[in-house]
Amino acid sequence: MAEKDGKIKRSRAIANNFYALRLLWQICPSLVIHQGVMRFLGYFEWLFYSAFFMRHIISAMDAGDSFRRIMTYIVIVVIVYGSMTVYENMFDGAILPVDRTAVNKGLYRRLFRKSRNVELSCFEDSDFYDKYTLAMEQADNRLIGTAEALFKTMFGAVASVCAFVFMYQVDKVSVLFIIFPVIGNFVFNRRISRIDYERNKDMAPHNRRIAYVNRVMYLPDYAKEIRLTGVFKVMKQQYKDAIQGVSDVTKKYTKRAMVLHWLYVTFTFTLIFEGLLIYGAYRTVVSHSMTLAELSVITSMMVSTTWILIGFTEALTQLFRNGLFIEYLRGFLEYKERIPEDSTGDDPGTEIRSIEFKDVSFSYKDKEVISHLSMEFRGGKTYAIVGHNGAGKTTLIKLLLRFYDPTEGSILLNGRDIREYDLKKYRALFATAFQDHRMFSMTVTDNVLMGETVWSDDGSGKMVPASPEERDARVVEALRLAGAYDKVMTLPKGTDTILTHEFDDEGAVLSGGEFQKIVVARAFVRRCPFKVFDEPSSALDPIAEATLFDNIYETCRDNTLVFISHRLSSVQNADWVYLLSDGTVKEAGTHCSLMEQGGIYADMYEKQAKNYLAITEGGASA
Amino acid sequence: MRHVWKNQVFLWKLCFRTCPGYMIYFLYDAFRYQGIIFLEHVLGIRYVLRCAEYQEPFWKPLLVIGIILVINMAQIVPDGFFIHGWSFRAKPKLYKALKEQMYQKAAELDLSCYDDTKYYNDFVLAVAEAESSIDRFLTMCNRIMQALTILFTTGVFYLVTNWVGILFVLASFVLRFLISRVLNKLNYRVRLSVNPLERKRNYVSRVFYLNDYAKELRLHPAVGDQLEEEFAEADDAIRAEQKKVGVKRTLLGFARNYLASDFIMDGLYISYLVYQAAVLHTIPYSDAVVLFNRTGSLRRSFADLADIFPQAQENSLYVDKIRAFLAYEPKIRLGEGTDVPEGNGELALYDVSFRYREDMEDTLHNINLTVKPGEHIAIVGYNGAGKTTLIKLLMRLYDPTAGEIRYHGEDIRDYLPEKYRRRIGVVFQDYQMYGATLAENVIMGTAYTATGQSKEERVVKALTEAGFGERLRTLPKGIETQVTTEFDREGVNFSGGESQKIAISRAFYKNADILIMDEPSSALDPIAEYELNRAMKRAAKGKTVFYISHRLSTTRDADRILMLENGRIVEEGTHESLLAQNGRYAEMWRVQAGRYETA
Repeated sequence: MAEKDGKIKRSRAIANNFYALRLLWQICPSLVIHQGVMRFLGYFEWLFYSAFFMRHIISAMDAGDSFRRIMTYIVIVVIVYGSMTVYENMFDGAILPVDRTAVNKGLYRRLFRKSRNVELSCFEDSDFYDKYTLAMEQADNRLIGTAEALFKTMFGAVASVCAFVFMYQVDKVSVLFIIFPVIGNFVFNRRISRIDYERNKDMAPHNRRIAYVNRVMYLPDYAKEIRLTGVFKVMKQQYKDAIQGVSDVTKKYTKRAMVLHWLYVTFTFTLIFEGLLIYGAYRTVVSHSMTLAELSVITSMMVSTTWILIGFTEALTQLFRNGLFIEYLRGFLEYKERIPEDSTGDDPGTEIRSIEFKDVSFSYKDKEVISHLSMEFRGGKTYAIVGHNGAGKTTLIKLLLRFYDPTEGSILLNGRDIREYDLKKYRALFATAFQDHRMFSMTVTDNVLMGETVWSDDGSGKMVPASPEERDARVVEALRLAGAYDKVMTLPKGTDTILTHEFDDEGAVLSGGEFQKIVVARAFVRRCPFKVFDEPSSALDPIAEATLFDNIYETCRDNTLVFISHRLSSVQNADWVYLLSDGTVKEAGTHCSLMEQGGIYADMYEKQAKNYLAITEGGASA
Repeated sequence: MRHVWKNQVFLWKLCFRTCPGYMIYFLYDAFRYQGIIFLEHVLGIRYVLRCAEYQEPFWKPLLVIGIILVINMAQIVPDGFFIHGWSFRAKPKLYKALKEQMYQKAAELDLSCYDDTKYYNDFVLAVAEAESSIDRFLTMCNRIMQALTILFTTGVFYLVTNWVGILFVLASFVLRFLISRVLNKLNYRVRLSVNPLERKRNYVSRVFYLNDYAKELRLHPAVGDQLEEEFAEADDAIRAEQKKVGVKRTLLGFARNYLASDFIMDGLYISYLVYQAAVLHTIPYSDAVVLFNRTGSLRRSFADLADIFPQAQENSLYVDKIRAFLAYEPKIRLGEGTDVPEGNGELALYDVSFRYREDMEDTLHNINLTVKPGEHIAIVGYNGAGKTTLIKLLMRLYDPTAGEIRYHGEDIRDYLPEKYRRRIGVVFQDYQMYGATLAENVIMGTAYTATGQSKEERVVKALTEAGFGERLRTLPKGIETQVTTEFDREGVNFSGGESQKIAISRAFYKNADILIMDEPSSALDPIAEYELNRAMKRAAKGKTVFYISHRLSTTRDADRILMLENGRIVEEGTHESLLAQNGRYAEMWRVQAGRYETA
């Protein structure tokens, strides 16, 4: 992205505004047109009322026109203006609310598609992710706001020029007074904005601290510790310090800001108003070269010209600010995916003979997480991956599922690089249960099936979508295998219970262990050749854990199975064990051969088993 | 009505007590703003126009405008200080005055409040709205003051010059007010029907943009399609709702913004003024111009005053939540009770039963247990057996529904809760790291008691005992290292195992009598778990210990093992005696240990 530290080039900011206009035009052209017309009418009325309306009436009265003639004029204005107002209210009451929804729908469809299509690492890169969240937040309203500010700037500039011309027409000298608000706005106000910006930047860490304390104080995660320890005192002190920090920052800028503020207000309002009044008084009373009508129009013109100018500068500032927001939005929409989720390629078929990692290295933010790793998974076999926290086990699974591509080396499915396959079809070969599970605000059944069709053999070997009964039976079976069924059946609506409180106050919120089981059920329900379980049992009690592993082995007999576990007792039955350390395979073999080898694995196993074995010996002798 | 008023008084008192000078200036500022406008745009302009109309000598307008100029330039000086200095400093203080009370309350709140979803939602809302309710109150004060200033200046000007204008303004105001009510009702109805749809929309976009779900969506693209579909449907439904009311809203808007406003002013009133000035000659042209120009602000001041009550009412709803929260009387009250006797004592449970909510079933039934000082107790059992609940009662995060818990022979409810809790060191699975220095993360605000060692030495010692010593030596800033990158790019995010050790060092530092450990190792690899267990053994020396674990290897050395099932202690004894008993525990043990046996 062409942005650095929240700043972009002016030319880029302006280009971005037009990009936004184009985008809005593609999504909802009618809104763009209406917005333009609205803005035009707004400035037109403003100028008309301050420059012509009263002036005409007073001149007419001065000239001794008949009441009838003046009334005719007023009636015409009332009718013309009235019909314009009909349109304006139609815009606010009918057009905008409807078009806003269209923009929301169109824009978010694009954003969702994109966010589903970018590779996973985008979400893990905090720089990218921060900008992306900024781009997503209120994107529809801000896009509309951007078009609005653009029209405001354009028509504001035209209106400013018109205002100058009108004042010039009334009195050539009076136009010179406009120099005051111009200086006030473009010199002093700009400096104030800069101070505001600097001050905000200086205050941000303190405000972040205040927000942090706030979060700690209300999130339930911290509630227990606040009660059991004195950490509340630490938080109170942090809050106090942050408030002091805000105060110090303020002091740093106060004097400069005060001087600028005085200059700004004096130039923008006081000098032009008072100056013009005195000048006008002189022209009417002393030199008699100005009529009362002209004087009154000048007094109202000076006010509106000043405000038109202020509006124009504000719109201009807004324009540049929007430029930055659009930069984020544009950067995201124009981002070139490295692993597009919709990448096409060959059909990988449905059979897995082997998956091979060939000298694979992978760096994450310049840090090598996987280094020169080679391993093989053969079809139908069972593999366990063990190792320290942070050894690269989960990264390995992510590479296997092609969430990332290796920085070096390659991964082969049945002898061909997995990058050559159609990504969706490739991934469909796997069923995976990750540790950091998420529940969706849907029924238990939907949370297990995750929107996928259940296929069933119609008897002749052809796969057809299963009947609802069979579908439900399969979900129940998966829940049973995962050990979640009994709990689910205690919920008010069984498998039809909505999970989470999101939309349904009656929705069920399960414990961490129960959620884990439902995630595991997702992997059970799916019929595919390769199953992956990443620490499926960390939150479970011994009995549930043992049953779960029995079920995993049992049901995956025909599948290729890979699991990660810290419970080494569950590893023994695997056909093959890979021990990962520092991102590479340090030991590989069957449980028995690794124990004989007496390396890291054996050490780990012994440390874990020691207490069990010691007592079993004791138990045996008892 | 009185209630709404009381809430405003509450806010005013709070603000005024915190920053009296600022609040007075704040009101003055609204008066000043409208006062200057009146001076400049009504009196000044009218005077000049008058001078022009009646051909007064030039020195007169020169003098008057000169005075206005000087007043104007003088009043901007404090204004700059108000905007760029005072407000930035006073507002955080006002927020703090309210929020500190709320934090204090939050720290005292019974933990059961967090389990009550409705209460908790109200609590979150109250915290979230604290700042904005003050902002809204200040805005309201400002508007009242501005409207009153206009009413007294411009209103009097109308009365003196030509009072009929007030009738036009009033007519316009009343009509607008009536139409607004209809329009607001319509908008409210739309909002009600659109709200759930928007909630749906927000949920879907959150799923798509939070990184938590990114993996899920890639593994199960069908869910993404389904959610996208739901989003589009919600949008279509909103669109249909908006379309339905489009014509009605247009007409009402037209009636309010044109017929009741511009038409009356720019059509009828101007005709009246022209008639008076040009035909009857009862109003000078200069007055006609100023009267016409001021209709807008006069009407706005009426409208602002009329809006104040609904605004106050709305804000009052939030203030209600805040005050209800502040008025909550916790069942477990800090600062009430006696001191806990010195030294470690016997901890005993007599017939303790507990339920989370009145309408729920008991989580614990009739627990009886006596623990001698220095005894090590392991609590094991299935998920949901009540293990964590039991230790929450021991920590006095909840009080038993029936029965009592005694420490040193006294009911723990008689002790000062903060003193009692000081005796307990806890290591949870869901411990938190705080955005503060490492030392602060260890000390956790525990009051320092002189023991011949400096605070720093004790922190280092606690960390070393927890097995963090080696890592500590690699930190250039030592115990002054910032934990988490929340505020400091130089900050350190420690790994799960390291953070666990820091959490344990807290218990070391605190030097508590009772140590409670709830599944501290479940997410750790075997080596880290092994080291952690060794550290905990060191920590446990000489203390009463309660240890919950699913890893039976770590609990077998306990003096006593309690097997919990469905909220009851079903078996109790040493590892050996329980194995000999051949019951639930033995079964669990065999399932877990047996798998290692085959090796």
